[in-house]
Amino acid sequence: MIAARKKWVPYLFLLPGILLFLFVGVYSVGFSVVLSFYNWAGIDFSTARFEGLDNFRDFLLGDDPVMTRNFYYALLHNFEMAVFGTLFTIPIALALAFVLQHSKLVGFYRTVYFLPMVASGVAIFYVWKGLFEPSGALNSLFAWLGLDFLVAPNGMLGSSSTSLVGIILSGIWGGLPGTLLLYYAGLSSVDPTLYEAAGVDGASRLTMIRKITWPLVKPITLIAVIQIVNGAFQSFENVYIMTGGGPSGSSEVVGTLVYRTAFLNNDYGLASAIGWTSFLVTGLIAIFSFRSLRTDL
Amino acid sequence: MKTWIRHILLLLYGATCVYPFVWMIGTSLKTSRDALAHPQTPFPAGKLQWSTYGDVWNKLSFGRYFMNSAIVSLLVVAGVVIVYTMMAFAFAKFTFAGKKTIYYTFIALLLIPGVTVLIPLYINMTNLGLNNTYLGIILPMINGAAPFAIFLFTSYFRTLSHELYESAVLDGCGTFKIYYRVYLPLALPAIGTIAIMNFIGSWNNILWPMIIVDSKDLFTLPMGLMYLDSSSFKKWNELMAGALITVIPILLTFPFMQKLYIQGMSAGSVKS
Repeated sequence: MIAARKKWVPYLFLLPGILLFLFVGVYSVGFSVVLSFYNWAGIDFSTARFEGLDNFRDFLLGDDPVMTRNFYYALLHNFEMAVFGTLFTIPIALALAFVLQHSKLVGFYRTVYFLPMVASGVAIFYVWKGLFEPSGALNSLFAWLGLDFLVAPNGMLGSSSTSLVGIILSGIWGGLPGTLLLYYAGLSSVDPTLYEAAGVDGASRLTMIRKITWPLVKPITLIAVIQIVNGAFQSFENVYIMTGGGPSGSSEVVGTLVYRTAFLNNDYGLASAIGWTSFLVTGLIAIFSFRSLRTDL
Repeated sequence: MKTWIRHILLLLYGATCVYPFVWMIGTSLKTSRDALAHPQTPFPAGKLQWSTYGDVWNKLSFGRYFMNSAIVSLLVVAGVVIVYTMMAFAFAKFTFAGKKTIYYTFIALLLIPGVTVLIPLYINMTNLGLNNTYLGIILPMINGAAPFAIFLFTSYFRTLSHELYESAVLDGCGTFKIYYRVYLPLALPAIGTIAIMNFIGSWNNILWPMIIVDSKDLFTLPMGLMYLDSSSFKKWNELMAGALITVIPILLTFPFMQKLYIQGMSAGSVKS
Protein backbone atom coordinates (compact mmCIF):
# COMPACT_ATOMS: atom_id res chain seq x y z
CA MET A 1 0.00 0.00 0.00
CA ILE A 2 1.34 3.38 -0.94
CA ALA A 3 0.51 7.05 -0.81
CA ALA A 4 0.02 8.15 -4.39
CA ARG A 5 2.55 10.67 -5.63
CA LYS A 6 -0.24 12.80 -6.96
CA LYS A 7 -2.80 13.07 -4.19
CA TRP A 8 -5.82 13.18 -6.49
CA VAL A 9 -5.06 9.92 -8.29
CA PRO A 10 -6.92 7.58 -5.90
CA TYR A 11 -9.96 9.86 -5.98
CA LEU A 12 -9.98 9.71 -9.75
CA PHE A 13 -10.40 5.95 -9.51
CA LEU A 14 -13.27 6.40 -7.07
CA LEU A 15 -14.99 9.08 -9.14
CA PRO A 16 -17.29 7.01 -11.40
CA GLY A 17 -18.64 4.98 -8.49
CA ILE A 18 -19.16 8.02 -6.31
CA LEU A 19 -20.83 9.98 -9.09
CA LEU A 20 -23.21 7.11 -9.73
CA PHE A 21 -23.94 6.90 -6.02
CA LEU A 22 -24.65 10.64 -5.80
CA PHE A 23 -26.73 10.51 -8.96
CA VAL A 24 -28.80 7.43 -8.08
CA GLY A 25 -28.33 6.56 -4.44
CA VAL A 26 -28.06 9.60 -2.19
CA TYR A 27 -31.22 11.36 -3.28
CA SER A 28 -33.28 8.20 -3.01
CA VAL A 29 -31.95 7.24 0.38
CA GLY A 30 -32.34 10.76 1.74
CA PHE A 31 -35.81 11.30 0.35
CA SER A 32 -37.06 7.98 1.64
CA VAL A 33 -35.93 8.92 5.15
CA VAL A 34 -37.81 12.21 4.85
CA LEU A 35 -40.88 10.46 3.47
CA SER A 36 -41.13 8.22 6.50
CA PHE A 37 -42.25 11.26 8.53
CA TYR A 38 -44.92 12.29 6.06
CA ASN A 39 -48.34 11.19 4.98
CA TRP A 40 -48.29 11.11 1.22
CA ALA A 41 -50.43 9.38 -1.37
CA GLY A 42 -48.00 9.97 -4.22
CA ILE A 43 -47.68 12.08 -7.38
CA ASP A 44 -47.54 15.67 -6.08
CA PHE A 45 -45.36 16.18 -3.02
CA SER A 46 -47.11 19.48 -2.13
CA THR A 47 -50.04 17.34 -1.01
CA ALA A 48 -47.82 15.62 1.59
CA ARG A 49 -48.53 16.28 5.27
CA PHE A 50 -45.82 16.23 7.93
CA GLU A 51 -46.83 13.84 10.66
CA GLY A 52 -43.74 13.39 12.80
CA LEU A 53 -43.56 9.92 14.22
CA ASP A 54 -47.17 8.97 13.44
CA ASN A 55 -46.18 6.48 10.78
CA PHE A 56 -43.88 4.69 13.19
CA ARG A 57 -46.50 4.69 15.91
CA ASP A 58 -48.99 3.17 13.49
CA PHE A 59 -47.15 -0.06 12.89
CA LEU A 60 -44.80 -0.27 15.88
CA LEU A 61 -47.01 0.69 18.81
CA GLY A 62 -50.41 -0.44 17.64
CA ASP A 63 -52.03 2.90 16.68
CA ASP A 64 -53.14 0.94 13.64
CA PRO A 65 -53.67 -2.55 15.07
CA VAL A 66 -53.91 -4.30 11.70
CA MET A 67 -50.73 -2.70 10.42
CA THR A 68 -48.91 -3.46 13.67
CA ARG A 69 -49.93 -7.08 13.50
CA ASN A 70 -48.92 -7.32 9.84
CA PHE A 71 -45.55 -5.72 10.49
CA TYR A 72 -44.52 -7.93 13.38
CA TYR A 73 -45.64 -11.05 11.56
CA ALA A 74 -43.77 -10.02 8.43
CA LEU A 75 -40.62 -9.37 10.42
CA LEU A 76 -41.03 -12.69 12.20
CA HIS A 77 -41.30 -14.43 8.83
CA ASN A 78 -38.08 -12.78 7.67
CA PHE A 79 -36.37 -14.03 10.83
CA GLU A 80 -37.72 -17.52 10.32
CA MET A 81 -36.42 -17.55 6.77
CA ALA A 82 -32.99 -16.43 7.96
CA VAL A 83 -32.80 -18.87 10.85
CA PHE A 84 -34.13 -21.96 9.09
CA GLY A 85 -32.25 -21.11 5.92
CA THR A 86 -29.00 -20.99 7.87
CA LEU A 87 -29.75 -24.03 10.05
CA PHE A 88 -30.45 -26.26 7.08
CA THR A 89 -28.12 -24.87 4.45
CA ILE A 90 -24.86 -24.72 6.38
CA PRO A 91 -24.66 -28.29 7.81
CA ILE A 92 -26.05 -29.96 4.69
CA ALA A 93 -23.73 -28.00 2.42
CA LEU A 94 -20.71 -28.75 4.57
CA ALA A 95 -21.56 -32.45 4.83
CA LEU A 96 -22.12 -32.77 1.09
CA ALA A 97 -18.88 -30.91 0.39
CA PHE A 98 -17.03 -33.48 2.50
CA VAL A 99 -18.72 -36.34 0.67
CA LEU A 100 -18.10 -34.73 -2.70
CA GLN A 101 -14.43 -34.19 -1.93
CA HIS A 102 -13.25 -37.72 -2.70
CA SER A 103 -15.75 -38.57 -5.39
CA LYS A 104 -14.49 -39.51 -8.83
CA LEU A 105 -17.37 -37.79 -10.60
CA VAL A 106 -16.75 -34.34 -9.10
CA GLY A 107 -17.00 -32.58 -12.46
CA PHE A 108 -20.39 -34.11 -13.23
CA TYR A 109 -21.85 -33.45 -9.80
CA ARG A 110 -20.56 -29.93 -9.74
CA THR A 111 -22.29 -29.11 -13.01
CA VAL A 112 -25.55 -30.61 -11.77
CA TYR A 113 -25.34 -28.77 -8.45
CA PHE A 114 -24.65 -25.55 -10.26
CA LEU A 115 -28.07 -25.62 -11.94
CA PRO A 116 -30.27 -24.31 -9.11
CA MET A 117 -27.78 -21.59 -8.37
CA VAL A 118 -27.73 -20.05 -11.80
CA ALA A 119 -31.38 -20.54 -12.60
CA SER A 120 -32.96 -19.50 -9.33
CA GLY A 121 -35.20 -16.60 -10.19
CA VAL A 122 -38.61 -15.69 -11.47
CA ALA A 123 -38.87 -18.67 -13.84
CA ILE A 124 -37.98 -21.14 -11.10
CA PHE A 125 -40.40 -19.55 -8.64
CA TYR A 126 -43.15 -20.45 -11.09
CA VAL A 127 -41.83 -24.01 -11.27
CA TRP A 128 -41.98 -24.27 -7.47
CA LYS A 129 -45.46 -22.87 -7.51
CA GLY A 130 -46.39 -25.77 -9.78
CA LEU A 131 -44.57 -28.37 -7.70
CA PHE A 132 -46.38 -27.15 -4.57
CA GLU A 133 -49.82 -27.47 -6.20
CA PRO A 134 -52.25 -29.88 -4.51
CA SER A 135 -51.58 -32.28 -7.38
CA GLY A 136 -47.88 -31.49 -7.30
CA ALA A 137 -44.69 -33.43 -6.85
CA LEU A 138 -44.29 -32.77 -3.14
CA ASN A 139 -47.69 -34.13 -2.21
CA SER A 140 -47.11 -37.13 -4.48
CA LEU A 141 -43.73 -37.77 -2.87
CA PHE A 142 -45.11 -37.64 0.66
CA ALA A 143 -48.03 -39.90 -0.27
CA TRP A 144 -45.63 -42.38 -1.90
CA LEU A 145 -43.43 -42.41 1.20
CA GLY A 146 -46.52 -43.09 3.29
CA LEU A 147 -46.11 -39.78 5.13
CA ASP A 148 -49.76 -38.88 4.72
CA PHE A 149 -49.71 -36.33 7.53
CA LEU A 150 -47.35 -34.21 5.40
CA VAL A 151 -49.67 -34.14 2.41
CA ALA A 152 -51.18 -30.66 2.14
CA PRO A 153 -54.67 -30.94 0.63
CA ASN A 154 -54.61 -27.34 -0.60
CA GLY A 155 -51.01 -27.51 -1.66
CA MET A 156 -48.22 -26.37 0.59
CA LEU A 157 -48.46 -22.75 -0.54
CA GLY A 158 -52.23 -22.76 -0.35
CA SER A 159 -52.65 -23.20 3.37
CA SER A 160 -51.66 -20.65 5.96
CA SER A 161 -49.90 -23.14 8.23
CA THR A 162 -47.44 -24.29 5.57
CA SER A 163 -47.03 -21.49 3.03
CA LEU A 164 -43.89 -20.12 4.69
CA VAL A 165 -42.42 -23.62 4.85
CA GLY A 166 -42.79 -23.82 1.08
CA ILE A 167 -41.04 -20.48 0.59
CA ILE A 168 -38.21 -21.52 2.91
CA LEU A 169 -37.79 -24.90 1.18
CA SER A 170 -37.49 -23.34 -2.25
CA GLY A 171 -35.04 -20.81 -0.79
CA ILE A 172 -32.85 -23.57 0.58
CA TRP A 173 -32.97 -25.32 -2.79
CA GLY A 174 -31.68 -22.18 -4.50
CA GLY A 175 -29.12 -21.25 -1.86
CA LEU A 176 -27.57 -24.58 -0.96
CA PRO A 177 -25.51 -25.14 -4.12
CA GLY A 178 -23.58 -21.88 -3.81
CA THR A 179 -22.60 -22.66 -0.23
CA LEU A 180 -21.79 -26.27 -1.07
CA LEU A 181 -19.50 -25.31 -3.94
CA LEU A 182 -17.73 -22.72 -1.80
CA TYR A 183 -17.10 -25.27 0.92
CA TYR A 184 -15.93 -27.75 -1.65
CA ALA A 185 -13.45 -25.26 -3.10
CA GLY A 186 -12.23 -24.42 0.39
CA LEU A 187 -11.79 -28.02 1.46
CA SER A 188 -9.97 -29.05 -1.68
CA SER A 189 -7.57 -26.12 -1.39
CA VAL A 190 -5.95 -27.81 1.62
CA ASP A 191 -2.69 -29.51 0.74
CA PRO A 192 -3.30 -33.20 1.65
CA THR A 193 0.28 -33.56 2.87
CA LEU A 194 -0.69 -31.19 5.66
CA TYR A 195 -2.96 -33.88 7.14
CA GLU A 196 -0.29 -36.53 6.62
CA ALA A 197 2.33 -34.44 8.36
CA ALA A 198 -0.08 -33.79 11.21
CA GLY A 199 -0.76 -37.53 11.40
CA VAL A 200 2.96 -38.28 11.61
CA ASP A 201 3.28 -35.76 14.40
CA GLY A 202 0.60 -37.72 16.26
CA ALA A 203 -2.23 -35.22 15.92
CA SER A 204 -5.66 -36.72 16.56
CA ARG A 205 -8.43 -36.51 13.97
CA LEU A 206 -10.18 -33.90 16.10
CA THR A 207 -7.07 -31.75 16.33
CA MET A 208 -6.65 -31.89 12.57
CA ILE A 209 -10.21 -30.71 12.05
CA ARG A 210 -9.78 -27.97 14.61
CA LYS A 211 -6.39 -26.76 13.46
CA ILE A 212 -6.47 -27.37 9.72
CA THR A 213 -10.05 -27.64 8.49
CA TRP A 214 -11.88 -25.17 10.73
CA PRO A 215 -9.69 -22.11 10.08
CA LEU A 216 -10.44 -22.64 6.42
CA VAL A 217 -14.13 -23.34 6.76
CA LYS A 218 -14.81 -20.47 9.15
CA PRO A 219 -14.49 -17.52 6.76
CA ILE A 220 -16.54 -19.39 4.16
CA THR A 221 -19.25 -20.05 6.73
CA LEU A 222 -19.33 -16.36 7.61
CA ILE A 223 -19.76 -15.31 4.00
CA ALA A 224 -22.43 -17.95 3.49
CA VAL A 225 -24.38 -16.94 6.61
CA ILE A 226 -24.26 -13.28 5.62
CA GLN A 227 -25.55 -14.12 2.18
CA ILE A 228 -28.37 -16.27 3.54
CA VAL A 229 -29.41 -13.78 6.22
CA ASN A 230 -29.19 -10.83 3.88
CA GLY A 231 -31.13 -12.76 1.24
CA ALA A 232 -33.82 -13.61 3.79
CA PHE A 233 -34.29 -10.00 4.82
CA GLN A 234 -34.24 -8.72 1.25
CA SER A 235 -36.61 -11.36 -0.07
CA PHE A 236 -39.42 -10.13 -2.22
CA GLU A 237 -39.63 -11.75 -5.62
CA ASN A 238 -39.94 -15.35 -4.39
CA VAL A 239 -42.79 -14.46 -2.03
CA TYR A 240 -44.42 -12.08 -4.48
CA ILE A 241 -44.65 -14.74 -7.19
CA MET A 242 -45.26 -17.89 -5.17
CA THR A 243 -47.83 -16.70 -2.62
CA GLY A 244 -48.16 -12.92 -2.86
CA GLY A 245 -47.71 -12.99 0.93
CA GLY A 246 -50.82 -15.09 1.51
CA PRO A 247 -52.92 -16.95 2.30
CA SER A 248 -54.11 -14.35 4.82
CA GLY A 249 -50.66 -12.91 5.42
CA SER A 250 -49.12 -16.22 6.46
CA SER A 251 -46.07 -15.74 4.23
CA GLU A 252 -45.95 -11.95 4.23
CA VAL A 253 -42.43 -10.54 4.56
CA VAL A 254 -41.33 -6.96 5.08
CA GLY A 255 -40.57 -6.64 1.37
CA THR A 256 -44.06 -7.55 0.21
CA LEU A 257 -45.63 -5.51 3.02
CA VAL A 258 -43.72 -2.39 1.96
CA TYR A 259 -44.61 -3.02 -1.67
CA ARG A 260 -48.29 -3.44 -0.89
CA THR A 261 -48.41 -0.43 1.40
CA ALA A 262 -46.72 1.79 -1.16
CA PHE A 263 -47.95 0.64 -4.52
CA LEU A 264 -51.37 -0.81 -3.76
CA ASN A 265 -52.49 1.32 -0.79
CA ASN A 266 -50.56 4.42 -1.95
CA ASP A 267 -49.33 5.12 1.56
CA TYR A 268 -45.75 6.02 0.68
CA GLY A 269 -44.84 7.56 4.02
CA LEU A 270 -45.89 4.52 6.00
CA ALA A 271 -44.12 2.23 3.52
CA SER A 272 -40.87 4.17 3.91
CA ALA A 273 -41.17 4.12 7.68
CA ILE A 274 -41.61 0.33 7.66
CA GLY A 275 -38.65 -0.08 5.33
CA TRP A 276 -36.35 2.00 7.50
CA THR A 277 -37.43 0.26 10.67
CA SER A 278 -36.53 -3.06 9.14
CA PHE A 279 -33.21 -1.50 8.17
CA LEU A 280 -32.57 -0.69 11.83
CA VAL A 281 -33.38 -4.28 12.72
CA THR A 282 -31.01 -5.63 10.10
CA GLY A 283 -28.50 -3.13 11.46
CA LEU A 284 -27.93 -5.49 14.36
CA ILE A 285 -27.04 -8.17 11.88
CA ALA A 286 -25.05 -5.55 10.01
CA ILE A 287 -22.68 -4.99 12.90
CA PHE A 288 -22.00 -8.68 12.84
CA SER A 289 -21.55 -8.74 9.07
CA PHE A 290 -19.23 -5.75 9.14
CA ARG A 291 -16.81 -7.50 11.39
CA SER A 292 -16.44 -10.34 8.95
CA LEU A 293 -16.44 -8.12 5.86
CA ARG A 294 -13.67 -6.06 7.38
CA THR A 295 -10.86 -5.75 4.94
CA ASP A 296 -7.37 -4.51 5.73
CA LEU A 297 -7.40 -1.02 4.42
CA MET B 1 -17.87 -44.09 4.59
CA LYS B 2 -18.72 -46.72 2.00
CA THR B 3 -18.38 -45.53 -1.57
CA TRP B 4 -21.91 -46.51 -2.51
CA ILE B 5 -23.42 -44.55 0.35
CA ARG B 6 -21.53 -41.50 -0.86
CA HIS B 7 -22.84 -42.03 -4.35
CA ILE B 8 -26.41 -42.44 -3.21
CA LEU B 9 -26.17 -39.24 -1.18
CA LEU B 10 -24.65 -37.28 -4.05
CA LEU B 11 -27.13 -38.68 -6.56
CA LEU B 12 -30.11 -38.00 -4.30
CA TYR B 13 -29.05 -34.40 -3.90
CA GLY B 14 -28.40 -34.21 -7.63
CA ALA B 15 -31.93 -35.44 -8.28
CA THR B 16 -33.45 -32.69 -6.12
CA CYS B 17 -31.38 -30.16 -8.08
CA VAL B 18 -32.53 -31.47 -11.44
CA TYR B 19 -36.16 -32.43 -10.77
CA PRO B 20 -37.67 -28.93 -11.05
CA PHE B 21 -36.03 -28.57 -14.45
CA VAL B 22 -37.30 -31.96 -15.61
CA TRP B 23 -40.79 -30.97 -14.52
CA MET B 24 -40.51 -27.61 -16.27
CA ILE B 25 -39.42 -29.15 -19.57
CA GLY B 26 -41.90 -32.05 -19.36
CA THR B 27 -44.83 -29.79 -18.51
CA SER B 28 -43.99 -27.34 -21.29
CA LEU B 29 -44.43 -30.21 -23.79
CA LYS B 30 -47.84 -31.31 -22.47
CA THR B 31 -51.27 -30.37 -23.75
CA SER B 32 -53.11 -27.88 -21.51
CA ARG B 33 -55.39 -30.63 -20.20
CA ASP B 34 -52.58 -33.07 -19.54
CA ALA B 35 -50.74 -30.31 -17.66
CA LEU B 36 -53.60 -30.12 -15.16
CA ALA B 37 -53.70 -33.88 -14.52
CA HIS B 38 -53.95 -35.00 -10.90
CA PRO B 39 -51.43 -36.12 -9.71
CA GLN B 40 -48.83 -34.39 -11.84
CA THR B 41 -46.20 -36.34 -13.69
CA PRO B 42 -43.08 -34.77 -15.09
CA PHE B 43 -43.59 -36.57 -18.41
CA PRO B 44 -46.20 -35.84 -21.10
CA ALA B 45 -48.84 -38.55 -21.48
CA GLY B 46 -49.28 -38.51 -25.25
CA LYS B 47 -47.34 -36.98 -28.08
CA LEU B 48 -45.04 -34.10 -27.29
CA GLN B 49 -46.68 -30.80 -28.07
CA TRP B 50 -43.93 -28.54 -29.33
CA SER B 51 -46.31 -25.91 -30.67
CA THR B 52 -46.69 -24.32 -27.23
CA TYR B 53 -43.26 -22.76 -27.60
CA GLY B 54 -44.24 -21.07 -30.84
CA ASP B 55 -47.57 -19.95 -29.37
CA VAL B 56 -45.94 -18.43 -26.33
CA TRP B 57 -43.16 -16.82 -28.35
CA ASN B 58 -45.68 -15.18 -30.68
CA LYS B 59 -48.37 -14.42 -28.12
CA LEU B 60 -46.02 -12.01 -26.44
CA SER B 61 -43.07 -10.47 -28.19
CA PHE B 62 -40.56 -12.72 -26.48
CA GLY B 63 -37.94 -11.93 -29.12
CA ARG B 64 -38.12 -8.32 -28.11
CA TYR B 65 -38.03 -9.14 -24.36
CA PHE B 66 -35.08 -11.38 -24.96
CA MET B 67 -33.11 -8.55 -26.58
CA ASN B 68 -34.07 -6.18 -23.75
CA SER B 69 -32.92 -8.66 -21.12
CA ALA B 70 -29.63 -9.22 -22.95
CA ILE B 71 -28.96 -5.49 -23.34
CA VAL B 72 -29.79 -4.72 -19.71
CA SER B 73 -27.79 -7.63 -18.27
CA LEU B 74 -24.70 -7.09 -20.40
CA LEU B 75 -24.58 -3.35 -19.72
CA VAL B 76 -25.07 -3.91 -15.99
CA VAL B 77 -22.22 -6.42 -15.94
CA ALA B 78 -19.92 -4.14 -17.92
CA GLY B 79 -20.75 -1.17 -15.71
CA VAL B 80 -20.30 -3.07 -12.46
CA VAL B 81 -16.96 -4.53 -13.51
CA ILE B 82 -15.46 -1.27 -14.78
CA VAL B 83 -16.72 1.08 -12.08
CA TYR B 84 -16.03 -1.17 -9.09
CA THR B 85 -12.67 -2.65 -10.12
CA MET B 86 -11.52 0.96 -10.36
CA MET B 87 -12.77 1.78 -6.89
CA ALA B 88 -11.36 -1.44 -5.47
CA PHE B 89 -7.98 -0.72 -7.04
CA ALA B 90 -7.84 2.59 -5.19
CA PHE B 91 -8.95 0.97 -1.92
CA ALA B 92 -6.44 -1.84 -2.22
CA LYS B 93 -3.40 0.07 -3.40
CA PHE B 94 -3.44 3.58 -1.99
CA THR B 95 -3.64 5.36 1.31
CA PHE B 96 -5.68 8.51 1.14
CA ALA B 97 -7.83 10.73 3.32
CA GLY B 98 -11.39 9.54 3.89
CA LYS B 99 -10.66 6.04 2.66
CA LYS B 100 -12.33 4.14 5.47
CA THR B 101 -15.37 6.40 5.49
CA ILE B 102 -15.93 5.99 1.78
CA TYR B 103 -15.34 2.24 1.85
CA TYR B 104 -17.72 1.53 4.70
CA THR B 105 -20.38 3.89 3.36
CA PHE B 106 -20.50 1.81 0.24
CA ILE B 107 -20.46 -1.50 2.10
CA ALA B 108 -23.33 -0.29 4.31
CA LEU B 109 -25.54 0.11 1.25
CA LEU B 110 -25.75 -3.67 1.18
CA LEU B 111 -28.08 -3.57 4.13
CA ILE B 112 -30.64 -1.09 2.90
CA PRO B 113 -33.68 -3.11 1.91
CA GLY B 114 -34.20 -2.62 -1.80
CA VAL B 115 -37.94 -2.00 -1.50
CA THR B 116 -37.43 0.91 0.89
CA VAL B 117 -35.79 3.18 -1.64
CA LEU B 118 -37.96 2.14 -4.59
CA ILE B 119 -40.38 5.04 -4.36
CA PRO B 120 -37.83 7.85 -4.07
CA LEU B 121 -35.67 6.11 -6.64
CA TYR B 122 -38.62 6.05 -9.01
CA ILE B 123 -39.29 9.76 -8.40
CA ASN B 124 -35.61 10.57 -8.82
CA MET B 125 -35.26 8.68 -12.08
CA THR B 126 -38.50 10.11 -13.43
CA ASN B 127 -37.34 13.65 -12.65
CA LEU B 128 -34.18 12.92 -14.60
CA GLY B 129 -36.35 11.78 -17.49
CA LEU B 130 -35.04 8.25 -17.28
CA ASN B 131 -38.30 6.35 -16.83
CA ASN B 132 -38.97 4.00 -19.72
CA THR B 133 -35.32 4.01 -20.80
CA TYR B 134 -32.60 1.39 -20.67
CA LEU B 135 -30.45 3.78 -18.65
CA GLY B 136 -33.21 4.10 -16.09
CA ILE B 137 -33.28 0.33 -15.62
CA ILE B 138 -29.52 -0.11 -15.63
CA LEU B 139 -28.03 2.67 -13.46
CA PRO B 140 -29.75 1.72 -10.19
CA MET B 141 -28.87 -1.93 -10.78
CA ILE B 142 -25.18 -1.04 -11.14
CA ASN B 143 -25.33 1.10 -8.01
CA GLY B 144 -27.08 -1.71 -6.16
CA ALA B 145 -24.26 -4.11 -6.98
CA ALA B 146 -21.66 -1.80 -5.42
CA PRO B 147 -21.23 -3.22 -1.92
CA PHE B 148 -20.47 -6.82 -2.73
CA ALA B 149 -18.47 -6.02 -5.87
CA ILE B 150 -16.29 -3.50 -4.02
CA PHE B 151 -15.78 -5.93 -1.18
CA LEU B 152 -14.80 -8.86 -3.39
CA PHE B 153 -12.59 -6.89 -5.79
CA THR B 154 -10.78 -5.14 -2.93
CA SER B 155 -10.10 -8.44 -1.14
CA TYR B 156 -8.91 -9.94 -4.38
CA PHE B 157 -6.56 -7.10 -5.26
CA ARG B 158 -5.15 -7.29 -1.75
CA THR B 159 -4.11 -10.90 -2.35
CA LEU B 160 -1.94 -9.89 -5.31
CA SER B 161 1.68 -9.24 -4.42
CA HIS B 162 2.68 -5.61 -4.09
CA GLU B 163 5.95 -6.29 -5.91
CA LEU B 164 3.90 -6.48 -9.07
CA TYR B 165 2.96 -2.88 -8.61
CA GLU B 166 6.51 -1.80 -7.88
CA SER B 167 8.02 -3.57 -10.86
CA ALA B 168 5.35 -2.05 -13.11
CA VAL B 169 6.28 1.39 -11.79
CA LEU B 170 9.95 0.66 -12.49
CA ASP B 171 8.96 -0.30 -16.03
CA GLY B 172 7.55 3.19 -16.35
CA CYS B 173 3.84 2.34 -16.24
CA GLY B 174 1.47 5.09 -15.16
CA THR B 175 -1.09 4.35 -12.46
CA PHE B 176 -3.97 3.90 -14.84
CA LYS B 177 -1.95 1.60 -17.08
CA ILE B 178 -0.99 -0.52 -14.07
CA TYR B 179 -4.68 -0.82 -13.26
CA TYR B 180 -5.86 -2.05 -16.62
CA ARG B 181 -2.76 -3.82 -17.92
CA VAL B 182 -1.57 -5.55 -14.74
CA TYR B 183 -4.30 -5.74 -12.14
CA LEU B 184 -7.40 -6.11 -14.26
CA PRO B 185 -6.19 -9.22 -16.14
CA LEU B 186 -4.99 -10.80 -12.90
CA ALA B 187 -8.36 -10.26 -11.26
CA LEU B 188 -10.15 -12.35 -13.86
CA PRO B 189 -11.52 -14.95 -11.38
CA ALA B 190 -13.04 -12.21 -9.22
CA ILE B 191 -14.35 -10.44 -12.29
CA GLY B 192 -15.88 -13.71 -13.46
CA THR B 193 -17.63 -14.21 -10.13
CA ILE B 194 -19.05 -10.71 -10.01
CA ALA B 195 -19.99 -10.84 -13.69
CA ILE B 196 -21.91 -14.09 -13.24
CA MET B 197 -23.64 -12.92 -10.08
CA ASN B 198 -24.76 -9.70 -11.66
CA PHE B 199 -25.72 -11.23 -14.96
CA ILE B 200 -28.01 -13.64 -13.14
CA GLY B 201 -29.21 -10.95 -10.75
CA SER B 202 -30.13 -8.45 -13.42
CA TRP B 203 -31.56 -11.14 -15.70
CA ASN B 204 -33.94 -12.16 -12.93
CA ASN B 205 -34.67 -8.74 -11.48
CA ILE B 206 -38.34 -7.84 -11.85
CA LEU B 207 -39.04 -5.47 -8.99
CA TRP B 208 -37.20 -2.47 -10.36
CA PRO B 209 -38.06 -2.88 -14.06
CA MET B 210 -41.69 -3.41 -13.06
CA ILE B 211 -41.72 0.05 -11.52
CA ILE B 212 -39.56 2.11 -13.87
CA VAL B 213 -40.93 0.63 -17.11
CA ASP B 214 -44.51 0.64 -18.28
CA SER B 215 -43.92 0.53 -22.00
CA LYS B 216 -44.13 -3.07 -23.18
CA ASP B 217 -41.32 -2.34 -25.64
CA LEU B 218 -38.90 -2.33 -22.71
CA PHE B 219 -40.19 -5.43 -20.91
CA THR B 220 -37.52 -7.93 -19.92
CA LEU B 221 -38.03 -11.70 -20.13
CA PRO B 222 -39.14 -12.27 -16.53
CA MET B 223 -41.62 -9.41 -16.90
CA GLY B 224 -42.94 -11.10 -20.00
CA LEU B 225 -43.28 -14.27 -17.99
CA MET B 226 -45.27 -12.50 -15.28
CA TYR B 227 -47.48 -10.96 -17.93
CA LEU B 228 -48.02 -14.43 -19.38
CA ASP B 229 -48.98 -15.68 -15.92
CA SER B 230 -51.57 -12.95 -15.46
CA SER B 231 -53.04 -13.48 -18.92
CA SER B 232 -53.36 -17.26 -18.94
CA PHE B 233 -54.77 -18.71 -15.76
CA LYS B 234 -53.19 -22.02 -14.72
CA LYS B 235 -52.03 -22.92 -18.22
CA TRP B 236 -49.00 -24.66 -16.80
CA ASN B 237 -47.76 -25.80 -20.19
CA GLU B 238 -47.62 -22.24 -21.50
CA LEU B 239 -46.14 -20.88 -18.32
CA MET B 240 -43.41 -23.53 -18.27
CA ALA B 241 -42.59 -22.96 -21.93
CA GLY B 242 -42.16 -19.29 -21.08
CA ALA B 243 -40.12 -20.17 -18.01
CA LEU B 244 -37.79 -22.35 -20.06
CA ILE B 245 -37.30 -19.59 -22.63
CA THR B 246 -36.41 -17.30 -19.73
CA VAL B 247 -33.81 -19.55 -18.08
CA ILE B 248 -32.24 -21.14 -21.14
CA PRO B 249 -29.71 -18.40 -21.90
CA ILE B 250 -28.39 -18.62 -18.35
CA LEU B 251 -28.36 -22.41 -18.39
CA LEU B 252 -26.43 -22.54 -21.63
CA THR B 253 -23.85 -19.93 -20.69
CA PHE B 254 -22.89 -20.79 -17.20
CA PRO B 255 -22.16 -24.43 -16.43
CA PHE B 256 -18.72 -24.06 -17.93
CA MET B 257 -18.04 -20.82 -16.12
CA GLN B 258 -18.50 -22.44 -12.72
CA LYS B 259 -14.77 -22.91 -12.17
CA LEU B 260 -14.13 -19.22 -12.58
CA TYR B 261 -17.00 -18.43 -10.26
CA ILE B 262 -15.76 -20.72 -7.52
CA GLN B 263 -12.18 -19.50 -7.84
CA GLY B 264 -13.18 -15.89 -7.45
CA MET B 265 -15.59 -16.52 -4.59
CA SER B 266 -13.11 -18.55 -2.58
CA ALA B 267 -10.32 -16.07 -3.17
CA GLY B 268 -12.60 -13.39 -1.75
CA SER B 269 -13.72 -15.37 1.26
CA VAL B 270 -10.48 -17.10 2.21
CA LYS B 271 -8.50 -14.15 3.34
CA SER B 272 -4.82 -14.61 3.81
